Amino acid sequence: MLRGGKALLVLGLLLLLQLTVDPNHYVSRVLLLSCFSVMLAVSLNIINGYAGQFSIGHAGFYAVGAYTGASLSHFGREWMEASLGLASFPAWLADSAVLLAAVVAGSVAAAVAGFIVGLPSLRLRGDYLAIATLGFGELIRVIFINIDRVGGARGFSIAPINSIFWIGLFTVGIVWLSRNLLNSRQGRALQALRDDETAASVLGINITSYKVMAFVLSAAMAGCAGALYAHFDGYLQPDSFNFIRSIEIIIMVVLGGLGSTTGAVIAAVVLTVLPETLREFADYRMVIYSALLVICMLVRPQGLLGTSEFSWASLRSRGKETGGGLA
Amino acid sequence: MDQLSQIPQLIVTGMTAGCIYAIVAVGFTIIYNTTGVINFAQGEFVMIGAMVAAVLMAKFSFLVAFPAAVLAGCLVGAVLAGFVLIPLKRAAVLTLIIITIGASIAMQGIAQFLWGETAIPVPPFTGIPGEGFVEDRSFHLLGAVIRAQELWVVAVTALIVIGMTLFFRYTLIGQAMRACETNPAGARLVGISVRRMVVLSFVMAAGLGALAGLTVSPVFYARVNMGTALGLKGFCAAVLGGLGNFSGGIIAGIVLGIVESLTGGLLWSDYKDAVAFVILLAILLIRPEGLLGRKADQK
Amino acid sequence: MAALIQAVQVTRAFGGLVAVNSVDFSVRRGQMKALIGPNGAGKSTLLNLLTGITPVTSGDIIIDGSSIRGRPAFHAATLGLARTFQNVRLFENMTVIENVMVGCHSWTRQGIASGALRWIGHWREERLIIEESHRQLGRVGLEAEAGADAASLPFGKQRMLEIARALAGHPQVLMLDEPASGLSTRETAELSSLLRQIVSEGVTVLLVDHDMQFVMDISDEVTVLDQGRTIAEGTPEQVQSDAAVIAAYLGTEPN
Repeated sequence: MLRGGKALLVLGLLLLLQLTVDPNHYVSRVLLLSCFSVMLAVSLNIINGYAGQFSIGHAGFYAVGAYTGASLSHFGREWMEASLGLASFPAWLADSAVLLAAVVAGSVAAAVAGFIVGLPSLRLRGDYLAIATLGFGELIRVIFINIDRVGGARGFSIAPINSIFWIGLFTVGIVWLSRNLLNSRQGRALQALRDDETAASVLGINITSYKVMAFVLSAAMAGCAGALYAHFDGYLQPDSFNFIRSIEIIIMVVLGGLGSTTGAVIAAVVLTVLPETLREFADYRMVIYSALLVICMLVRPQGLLGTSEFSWASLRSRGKETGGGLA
Repeated sequence: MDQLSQIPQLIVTGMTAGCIYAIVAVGFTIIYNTTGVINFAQGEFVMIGAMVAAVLMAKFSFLVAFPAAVLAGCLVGAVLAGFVLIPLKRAAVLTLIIITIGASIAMQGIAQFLWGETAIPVPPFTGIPGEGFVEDRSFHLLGAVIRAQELWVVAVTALIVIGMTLFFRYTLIGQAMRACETNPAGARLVGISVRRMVVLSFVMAAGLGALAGLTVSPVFYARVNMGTALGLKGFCAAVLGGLGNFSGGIIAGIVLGIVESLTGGLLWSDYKDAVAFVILLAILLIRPEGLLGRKADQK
Repeated sequence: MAALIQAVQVTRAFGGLVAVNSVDFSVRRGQMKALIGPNGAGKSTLLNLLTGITPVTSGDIIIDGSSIRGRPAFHAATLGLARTFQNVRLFENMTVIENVMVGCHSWTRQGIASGALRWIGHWREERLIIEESHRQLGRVGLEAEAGADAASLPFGKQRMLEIARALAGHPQVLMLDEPASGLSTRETAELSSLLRQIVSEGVTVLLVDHDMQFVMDISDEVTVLDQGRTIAEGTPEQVQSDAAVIAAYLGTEPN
């Protein structure tokens, strides 16, 4: 209702881009890649930033979403065409249907994985939970490397469906959902448990169930990004979901400011676009990243934006946002 | 029946890998006990030792290469300690862990820049001298072929275990380091410089790691990215044995190496690498403090 | 009248140390009850047991008719319990009003979908939450600082914020752990009148504190704990002149 006008504007813009811009052009590719980074960083921010849990296996959820979505698209396309009569639809509609199905499958599978990884939070605190997430991420990668049906170490090739509209839509959607969460009852509960678990539980917040919820939601978003990514190039390799990838996402969240969605978005875009523009330094990318990370931790551990968020309201009133966001 | 006959060989191979995991675990333990930090760069120390030894062996004798490799490791350890020390008192432990993660990636990146990505073969300590590639001696025992270098790995591991036990129990410095673990404020009061102990713990962990690296490199080749897997698995061993528990880490490392080898050889060869993580996850669910750890940390 | 809160033969041991030893303790609806005792008597432990944060070693805790034994820490809140902490536990990265809004958690119901997707239910409830939060802030005199960072408040105001947060949950019982410690005389007087007002509105209050004057002034009934056991119970006057109580305090007075 309140957002109706803005939503139509966004949809219209994306549609326009879809119809006019070539997704395979170098610039589009870089921007689309940064969309994936944004989705990953924003989703990780829910676990690391809002809930204050330390998760260092996020690439695992990304992988689950990617491989599940790719499998559905690759192995299930004929079935879908037959039972849903897709063959008679125009190409763009059929492709969109397949893509959406893949995204749903990827998100659900990743959400299940998120549930499994989040459950141990019942018994584990701090470093130990981080260790569990690390183990999980690596486990996923090793498993996928060895499933021959999805290509194993050689990689998995599927028919690409590269859609600016859908990638853009899901990116905007995920950022929007995440921002909404921040100023909602559930989001406040997450931040409360981040700041002081005991005090939060005394107020009636079920700590474990909220931690698990954070994992499930975050994983689902990463899975969605994964499924979209799988169709971006049409080629998946287990090594692109390794520990280093998880670290890259953490770097984005940490640099942008743990707890700030805006920070995560900015950092994700900058850290994806910058390496592309500085191609000569590609070899040094990891060294530069890690140097950045170390410096950031030493000088400003709360990241660029700390926990502050960008909002139109605060631009207008130049004061702190009081909770609620009725604007 | 054919499978059963492979077991001795698998155990031997597993033992070798296990010893390296054990040494890495010891490194983790030393640093964790003094600072509470989980040092994700531990595996890279092994890599540094292996790479420096490999590169130097091509031109110099092992008398130069080996000490140089260990020294290189110690130097890097000292540098890392410096970075961790800066925010140590006021920073959250997780911040420090992120710093070590960043350091490990930086080390790998720099190593890649210096030495490229190819694997470098390293001649074994007591190989049979000859033209070109140096062959290693081997023994037959109970149906397994044991390479001389593998015995060296076990020997070095044993030396490290004995050395560390003696060090921590009987030397003043060793006891000082143990004091830092239990009570940093108290340690300071009696004149122990916690800063120095932190640097020392990193230097020791790094030196040990480098030693492990140069000893195992003739068996597994020296490669710039060997650190990640070793670090992760050594870390699994440390958790399995109980974070902070010295002997736990060693036993767990060897057990992990053997279990991994047996599983890979007898059951699913493809999933051999997954074994360490499955065990890690299992232990975290069942008994997070590890097999021999004390039920402490609820951070 | 049946007790609202009842501790039945409750014991809590930490390894060899028995902090609370077979204590029978109850609070009746509408009371302003105080729990006092020398340092180390076990008061905070008993409070933790009553709110379900610490599990009992033996015995039972019954709140409004249901036992909380074996239940998770957040369960007590659903039975109408609220508490403050000895060393104020605010949500430091949130603003003053956000802290109070979290306090509204137990009587609100909006789920994740509603919050993330901004359904009508979310807006309706947010309005209620904001109104209620402002009301509680007004009650403790923090209305002006609503948008400030919780961590930036001076100590006395942080205490009041914690109370506002606890009250935002519309509790049946409010338990306060050393609420007067660190407060100035004026602030203590404000606290006293706030607590009297709360009781007059029907909230039961349990007070744990050291400050004798403060406790005796406002409580209906006092229980004295020493070394994990109850040694006296009665009106403030009765307890003040009880020999065992005097001995316990004088005996453990630091020299």
